[in-house]
Amino acid sequence: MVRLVSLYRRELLGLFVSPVAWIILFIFLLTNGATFTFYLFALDGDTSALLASQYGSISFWFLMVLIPPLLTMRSFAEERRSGTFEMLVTTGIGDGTLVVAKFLSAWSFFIFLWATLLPLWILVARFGTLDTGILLTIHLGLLLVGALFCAAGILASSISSSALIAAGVGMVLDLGFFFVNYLRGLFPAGSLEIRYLEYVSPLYHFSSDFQLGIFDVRYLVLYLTVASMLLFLAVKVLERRRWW
Amino acid sequence: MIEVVHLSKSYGRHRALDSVSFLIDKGTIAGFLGPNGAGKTTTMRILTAFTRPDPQTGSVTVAGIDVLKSPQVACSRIGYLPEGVPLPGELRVIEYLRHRADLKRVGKRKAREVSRVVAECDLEQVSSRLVGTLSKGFRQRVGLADALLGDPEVLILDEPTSGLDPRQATEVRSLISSLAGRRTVLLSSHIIGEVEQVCDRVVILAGGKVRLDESRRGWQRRLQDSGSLTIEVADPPADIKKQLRSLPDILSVSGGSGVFQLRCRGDQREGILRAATEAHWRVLELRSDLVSLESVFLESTGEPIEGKDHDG
Repeated sequence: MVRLVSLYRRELLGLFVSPVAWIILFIFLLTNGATFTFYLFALDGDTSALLASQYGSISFWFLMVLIPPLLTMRSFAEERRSGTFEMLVTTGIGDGTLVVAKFLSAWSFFIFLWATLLPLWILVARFGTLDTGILLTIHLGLLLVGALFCAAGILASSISSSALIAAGVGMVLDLGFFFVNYLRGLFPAGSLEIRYLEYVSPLYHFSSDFQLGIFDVRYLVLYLTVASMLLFLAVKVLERRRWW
Repeated sequence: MIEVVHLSKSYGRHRALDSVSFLIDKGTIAGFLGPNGAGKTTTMRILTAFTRPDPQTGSVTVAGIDVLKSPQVACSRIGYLPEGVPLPGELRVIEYLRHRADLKRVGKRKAREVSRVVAECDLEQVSSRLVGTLSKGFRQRVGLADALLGDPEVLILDEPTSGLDPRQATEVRSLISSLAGRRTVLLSSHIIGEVEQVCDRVVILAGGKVRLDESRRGWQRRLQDSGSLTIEVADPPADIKKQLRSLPDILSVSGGSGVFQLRCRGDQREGILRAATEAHWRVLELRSDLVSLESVFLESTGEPIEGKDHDG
């Protein structure tokens, strides 16, 4: 546990001192600020629909797909490139501890990013109408989808020695989860295939439940299970690389 | 203390290590020599459980622990300094060492251990500086301090003086020498003079095979057994080469015009001087040519060391 906490702190510090993280924060705040202002005018001051619009917009999904791979791309790829991975592994630390520490630090930074928007919603609640139940379910959904996408990014980083390739693979994985929703159009309404696709589509979960203030515990199980599975795969990839 | 038996490692078709075996006793400082691509770093990476050898080949034991069966336990007994000392630049020296102490499970002794290695590696003056701003010499010292954390029984150092200026290299070397007796050290180097100066034992690797595994006494005896002398004689008699060759333990005589090179078994200066006196030769000079570990290296590998640096 001491190792996990120490490595988590070191990774988080590494993210905060990296210029990439501050560029991400800049893009994040700029995009969200612009979207917020756009919907504030588009809805003619009707703040009750602001939450659903902001977190259902294309810019929201653009950030969701873009940010986790950028946060995780250096996790293993950069360590391997710079040689610090050898220093880490030869302390006797387990691959599982390594993967979990790096995942938790990336996920924490992801949560920090979205937390920077909370003052906006406090202002909306103070001067307009805000459904705090919806605010809560949307943020729970954010945490879960963020965990899934960060885990996918960690897996991508464990595979490649290049941070750019890791980011690319991570984005492809995230886009895969994103486009699952659009596969529904290939099947007749009410079919079993559509139901299965809806079970695993983050986009659908947001539009049908989280944005309406509904939180289904099955989502918790789904996202945590798939994220754990991806992290387990990352551990196996690291173990496998020892034999190369 | 370090026992490697029939270790092999292949990368695709390339056989990096081919049935490598050697034994380094407790308290010994062993030098690991070899040309580039000889397999030194691969061996060190296997010893530190970073890389696995080919399945079903050989065994690796460090401090009594089977590295292949219990890699994490073995790692706790080893201090490792990889080639190039890759360190994260964004941490202060003291923060980095505390973080490493946590990873190495130093536990309650953390503060004491960090202070000890900072003092041992003379890092007090830079302890609050960012690692990224340090000179190469200090980075090397930080790497060594890291390797010493937890007081490991075995130290594995991959080219610890590489890229250092002569003064820094001498300081690092004396630091390594000061560890003698207390710990077992395996030191890889391109600098033959360094190995001659610091090590009690030498293992020479070439083409993935051990070409020589000998103690300091062994290689010194080998050098004595293959002596080389140069004699300069004024107005030498016509048959001087024949006379020299007839002396006991002289293997060959070459040269001319009064300067002759002799290959002999052991140090034959006394016998040659006696013969010269009896024959009334006017000897201007008789010197024993320096035969160093480099000769042993060249003999073992058939090639010179890349980037060799006799001055260190």
